[in-house]
Amino acid sequence: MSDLVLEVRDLRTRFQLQGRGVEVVRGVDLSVAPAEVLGLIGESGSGKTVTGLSILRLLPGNAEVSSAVMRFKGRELQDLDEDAFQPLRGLSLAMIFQNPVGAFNPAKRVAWHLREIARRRHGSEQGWQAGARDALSAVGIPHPERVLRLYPHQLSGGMAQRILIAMVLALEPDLVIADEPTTNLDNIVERQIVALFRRLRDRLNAAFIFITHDMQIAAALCDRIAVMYAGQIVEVGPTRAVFDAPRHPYTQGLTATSLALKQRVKRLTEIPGELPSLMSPPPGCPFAPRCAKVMARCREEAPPMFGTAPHLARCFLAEPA
Amino acid sequence: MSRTALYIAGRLAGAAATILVGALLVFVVMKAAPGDPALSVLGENARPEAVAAFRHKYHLDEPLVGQFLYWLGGLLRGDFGRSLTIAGGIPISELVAARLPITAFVGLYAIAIAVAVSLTMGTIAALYRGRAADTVATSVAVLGISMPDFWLSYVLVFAFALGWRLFPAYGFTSPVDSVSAALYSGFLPAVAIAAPMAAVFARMLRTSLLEAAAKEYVVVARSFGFTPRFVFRNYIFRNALIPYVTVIGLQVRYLLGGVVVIERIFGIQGLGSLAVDAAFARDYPTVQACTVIFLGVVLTVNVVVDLACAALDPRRSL
Repeated sequence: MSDLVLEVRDLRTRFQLQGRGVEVVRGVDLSVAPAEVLGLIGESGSGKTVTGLSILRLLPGNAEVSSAVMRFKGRELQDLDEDAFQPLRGLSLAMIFQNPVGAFNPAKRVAWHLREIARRRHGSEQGWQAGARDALSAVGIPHPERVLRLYPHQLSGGMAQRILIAMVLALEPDLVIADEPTTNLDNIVERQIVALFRRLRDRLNAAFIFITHDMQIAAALCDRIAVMYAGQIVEVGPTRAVFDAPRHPYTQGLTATSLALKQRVKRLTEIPGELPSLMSPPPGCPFAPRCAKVMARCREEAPPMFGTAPHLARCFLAEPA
Repeated sequence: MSRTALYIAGRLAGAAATILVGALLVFVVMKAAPGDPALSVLGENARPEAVAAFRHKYHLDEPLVGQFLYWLGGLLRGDFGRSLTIAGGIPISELVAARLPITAFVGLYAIAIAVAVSLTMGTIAALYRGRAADTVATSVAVLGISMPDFWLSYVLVFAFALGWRLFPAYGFTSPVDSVSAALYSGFLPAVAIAAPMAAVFARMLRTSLLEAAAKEYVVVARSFGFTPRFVFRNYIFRNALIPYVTVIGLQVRYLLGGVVVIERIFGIQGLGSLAVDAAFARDYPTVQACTVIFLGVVLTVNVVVDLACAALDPRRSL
């Protein structure tokens, strides 16, 4: 197990809102092997993004993050203070964000961004231009020279996301957390970016946590899938197993809507009901109020993870007889 | 580059129109005000022939439209005319040439102080948001905004000139004679002018720094592993600078109002006190000249600020 890139146990993130603590991530376990793509899927508000930001410690001051284990390439990260953790960002753990246009410094040209990335990676800006051209070409930007001279507000969403991906990859991180990198893009560009990730996946050594609410993208890109619901992982397993033989009723609902819509674009919100309020989480299984197969004990007792590795589900139905 | 040239040409045309309207307004207001420059120079008991001769000499006996056009014609040739009363017969351009450097010095001095103080206070307030340093800086800023500049002037004189005797209470050495003496004798007036401006600038900077710090690009910059110092300087501060510079440009017009009052209080022989003296003595052309110069300064500063903002903010085009 020590050859994992990232191992997280019992990750918990609380926000202080008007004097009340709200736990948004409620005991998440994750592990990512080298060059593996782990899909983190679930509907909006399930805690996927906060999980990513918690790992990189990028949350605002009103967030408290704790974990039992936070191990990166065998190194324990929990005890590092901010000064010791900051150098790991970018070079070891990196993130690709949802809103690519807002991710750039609006006062600086694309060239400035890539030069600073080169300086961050190599400690000097020497030869950054050649590196920048290559990095932009690798993400499918046709005229890198011209694009380098542009300001962020002159970029389209798709181009901005490609450049951002190029910047992150130029840092050569061991783990990239991609947080719905295609959500804000239109369908055609979204497909192009997914294709780009697919190409990069095979070429790079980086491991990915790919956060998405799009089942089709998850199925196309990921080696393993972790399904998140109400701040918890409710099912985890190899992509095939999770999609072909889902064990948690929530995942079954997701794949059913997915099947019903065949290969068309579908979102996850087609399961009736809503996420429970985390201000006062229900005592039993958080999915019980929406679950078609709910049993009496589900409303009183929170189920643990059942099953045999690598395929686990947080549901009493998956409990061995 | 041609776009910048076009922009400047357009602004110059607008500035000329503004100055024309401003000059006309001041001309009308001065004529409408009671008082007579001839009597102001020759005395209440002057002989009617002397008064008539004075009026004829300075074209005061001609119709108002003719007077205005006569003055405007001189202005276009760069000639402000001659002073009527306060410095009888002396070309106003000479008066202005002697006074302008003094006012410009005090004004720039005040802006420099305001910028230095507000950069420090605004940055500290933003960095220590909600903590003691922020509360102190923000409270001082509110105080600075609420204090009338003339009142602050007397407080400064009372404390630092009469009390501790650190600075002179009255009088000012021209920077033409000695820059160091001008810096010394101009300190209290510059502070009096700077205080309310510094307060406005500091609040603006604090707000824009906090706004920029909350932007998504800051989180992204941190995710690259850029150091906090780098992120602050190149992302937060750099982007907060745009609204900050805009506010500085807007405040310059209030600065000129402050200069007039403060020059009187500290006995500075600048353009402000020239304008006030000339107004009291019904020295129409001198008042008009000062007005035109003040207008010119405001319009020039506006153009400079617009150019600076365009240079700072690639999203803004001229």
